[in-house]
Amino acid sequence: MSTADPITENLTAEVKILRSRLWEAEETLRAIREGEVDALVINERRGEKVYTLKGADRTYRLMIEEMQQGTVSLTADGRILYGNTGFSRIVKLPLDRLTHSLLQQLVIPEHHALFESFLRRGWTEGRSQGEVILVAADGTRIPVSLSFKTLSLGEGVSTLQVVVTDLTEQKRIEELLVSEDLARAANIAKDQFLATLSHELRTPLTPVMAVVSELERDPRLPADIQESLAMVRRNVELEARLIDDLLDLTRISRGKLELERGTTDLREVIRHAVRTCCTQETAAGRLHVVEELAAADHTVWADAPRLSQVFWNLLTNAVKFTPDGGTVRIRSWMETGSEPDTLAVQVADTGIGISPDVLPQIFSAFDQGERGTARRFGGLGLGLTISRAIMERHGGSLTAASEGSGQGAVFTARIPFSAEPVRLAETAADSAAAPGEEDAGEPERSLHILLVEDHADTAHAMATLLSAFGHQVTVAASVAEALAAAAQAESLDVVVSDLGLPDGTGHDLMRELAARHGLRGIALSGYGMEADIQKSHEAGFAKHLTKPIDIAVLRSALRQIARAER
Amino acid sequence: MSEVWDLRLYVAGETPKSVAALANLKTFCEAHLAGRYKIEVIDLVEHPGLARIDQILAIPTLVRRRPSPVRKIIGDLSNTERVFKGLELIR
Repeated sequence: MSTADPITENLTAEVKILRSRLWEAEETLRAIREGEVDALVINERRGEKVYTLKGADRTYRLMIEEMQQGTVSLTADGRILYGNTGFSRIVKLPLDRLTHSLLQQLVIPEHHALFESFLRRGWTEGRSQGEVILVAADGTRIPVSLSFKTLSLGEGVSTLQVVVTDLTEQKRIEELLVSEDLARAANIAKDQFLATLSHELRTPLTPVMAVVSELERDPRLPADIQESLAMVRRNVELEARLIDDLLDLTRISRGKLELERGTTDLREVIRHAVRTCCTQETAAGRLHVVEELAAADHTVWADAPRLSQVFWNLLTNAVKFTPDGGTVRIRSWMETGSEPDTLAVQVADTGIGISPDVLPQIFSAFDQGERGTARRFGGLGLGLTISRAIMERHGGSLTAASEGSGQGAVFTARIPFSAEPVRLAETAADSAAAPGEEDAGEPERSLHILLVEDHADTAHAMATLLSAFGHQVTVAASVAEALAAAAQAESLDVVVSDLGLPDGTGHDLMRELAARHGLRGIALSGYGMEADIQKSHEAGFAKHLTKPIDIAVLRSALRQIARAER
Repeated sequence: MSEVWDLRLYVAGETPKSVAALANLKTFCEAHLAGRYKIEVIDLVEHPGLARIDQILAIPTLVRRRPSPVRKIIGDLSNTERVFKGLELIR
């Protein structure tokens, strides 16, 4: 063994030297790359010269190392000469593993041809650009944008510089945007569906309401029948309210909940709500209802029917969720200190309460505590969502608190205390048209009414009622029939028309009648959105009433038209 | 091994890395070679010709002249682990 072959010995020594030189070269490159070197010795003809790296060079090198983008230098055969930290970070591989490997190996196979075309164009045209998907060391697919540019290193040597931009985040955001668009579209479709649905649900209620409320007033009917009729009416009203809730919800989700404000005595609104919701319960001895309203002025600038809807909702919930022997307490007080002063109304019960994990969601549509609760108490759970929206629309708030299950619940509504209009512009014309108590005592003037309604039951019920109030009624079931009737009639005062007719729209009919006979009109529609009302006014209707038609509202509208004609 | 370590540090004036390398080297030697080392600092800005002796390309570079064989460490010596390895110093 010790008598080693001299040739072998020489070769071994040579290999050692080569190895050490190679190591030194690698070390130098490493030190340069890591910025541990800031001067170089260059052999020139007149001897060695030292070049120090100026500040600017260091800045550039640092910038390239630290920038978010990856940079890679490629040899003519597509191998990585050098990659920066950014690239290493993107593909999750250490730099020493990357050096001398083929960049294409990191590209997913489906994109190999594409990648090769970028490379080819980069080399032939000097620059190219495109997007591919890379696979990182941990298997994640990374969408990247590649920008190629050739760089001459002198002496006929060129490299292809590639700037690699990670598009993961960008793609994620793009996808989010797309899904958000879809969600928005779905929401609009849902609103549309709800609006149509509520229209379909309302229509059959109109004749029932009309006939029942008329029969209820008939003194010839025995008391037990009257009672049954009252029950039927209450349930139809409840049904109508649920449908209204659905419609309100679509308004809220479109940000189109409009208020018709006026000077409102909140105390009256609250008392009325208590009377409607709690009287029966108290009379039956089931619950204690305590009313503690502050002595202060309760005048607010508000939409009274909307506010009574809020208190009706709160009280109905309190009554519904409080077991026998419990207490529902409604109190009010003035909160001063903040500008403007605030009127607070609180409904507190000793009922089943709300568990803390459910509490944050109770104002979301379709939530109603736990599933079990929903099954026990029915309803859609829209009331709180709508109530909160109504309070917020008034510049106020609605909050809920509960100590937990079985601990009762406390709802507090707040509204700015201001008897003055907060904004004067608010639909002054429309609030004047609110079902008027002011003209309730006025004697009815007999009118000749052209009633256009294709739903036979509704037409019959309404004609009967209107006749009962002393009007002369001509019924038509289509646009053609209505125009014919108008042409024949001696003296028509007003047209009351459904909007969806078999041979055209109520809008077209109204335009014709106004042009030919100077008629005024009242629109009857299952749609009560602001846009629908607007459309009716544009067609020439003086009023737009939403189904199911409350006969008192229709009479009030007729009175106003009669007065205007005088 | 009581042999004195003969170390030579090539610098280029007072560039940041040259200054850093000298400081790192002194700290390292005091910690691991106390009392048995000597450092010669060669400024190649003043004497560029001396680069030829140890075939210096990048600055700063540390050369271990003794114990033999000659070994080089390129860079500012900020990575202690690499200095251990480069000097073949057994802890």
